[in-house]
Amino acid sequence: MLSKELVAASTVPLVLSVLTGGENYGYALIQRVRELSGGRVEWTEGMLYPVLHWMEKEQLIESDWREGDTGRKRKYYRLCKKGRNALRQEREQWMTIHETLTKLWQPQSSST
Amino acid sequence: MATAIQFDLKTAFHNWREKLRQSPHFRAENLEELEAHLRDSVTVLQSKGLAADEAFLIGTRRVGTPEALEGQFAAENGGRGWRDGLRRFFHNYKNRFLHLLILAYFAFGCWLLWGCLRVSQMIEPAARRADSLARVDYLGVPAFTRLFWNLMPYWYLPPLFAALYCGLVWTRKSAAKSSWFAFFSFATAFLFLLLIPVLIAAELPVISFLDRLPPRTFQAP
Repeated sequence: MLSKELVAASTVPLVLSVLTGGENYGYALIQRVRELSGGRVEWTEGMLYPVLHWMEKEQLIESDWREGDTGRKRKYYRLCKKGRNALRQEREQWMTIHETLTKLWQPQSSST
Repeated sequence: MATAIQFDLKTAFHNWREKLRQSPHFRAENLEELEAHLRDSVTVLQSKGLAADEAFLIGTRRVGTPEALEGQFAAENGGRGWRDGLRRFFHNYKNRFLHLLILAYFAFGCWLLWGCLRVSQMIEPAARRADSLARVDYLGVPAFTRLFWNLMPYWYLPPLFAALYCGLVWTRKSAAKSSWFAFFSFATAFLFLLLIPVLIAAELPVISFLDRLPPRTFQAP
């Protein structure tokens, strides 16, 4: 299980990344992240919505209410231009951390 | 024969939503979105073979407790309408407002006690005159009363310290900390402890004067 802090820090890039695959609603976003992480990223589901609303306020994403295939009304979120730029920055930052840790944790090459 | 209680999913959704609606921190749109989420979750769980009540229980747990959700949405929304605005205002300023009321009560109490001593000062010349009329030697004001009279110029100090404390509460203390009750208890205890000696100090000249009157004064002619 990942730490709460790490899960919280990764919420925005995860949401932005999932939305690059097309618009989606809250429940499906959570399911997608759970599926991709093999169940290791666990959100308290209701807590995602304030984050989505904050991202909407920041114009990273936008939304509208529509009826889905089942006839149930859902709020669909999609990525905005500002969101794409934010995702690019997030990606660079997370990759920097990833690369640094990878270098630190790979077996030391023997000194010549 | 045992009677099975039928679980009504529609009523359960309605009750869950109504419970959340009690809080000023959810907008109608938030409730709709959360309910849509819960319905999706319950549908998926039922499709996996869970009974309606089990699916509903697990679904609500996954969405989060009403308290946890309220905490999250409070930061986003605050409240709805003028009633919630008023309630939020009162919630934020209740502690500070009550401190102000208690300060007024404390200052008024101190002023009343000061007034008792002032009255005793005012009747002292009359007591002196009465002493001379009754041909009794004037023995002066009792020492205990004189002590309190001497303290009168500093009587403003307790309300001043209380006002300084209130200033601290208004500027520094978090609104969430309800320290008003402790302040009220302290103010009341202080006034009560001061009340008895002040009353004694104020009454002593009168008691002393009555004590010195010759016995015949109270005899019928």
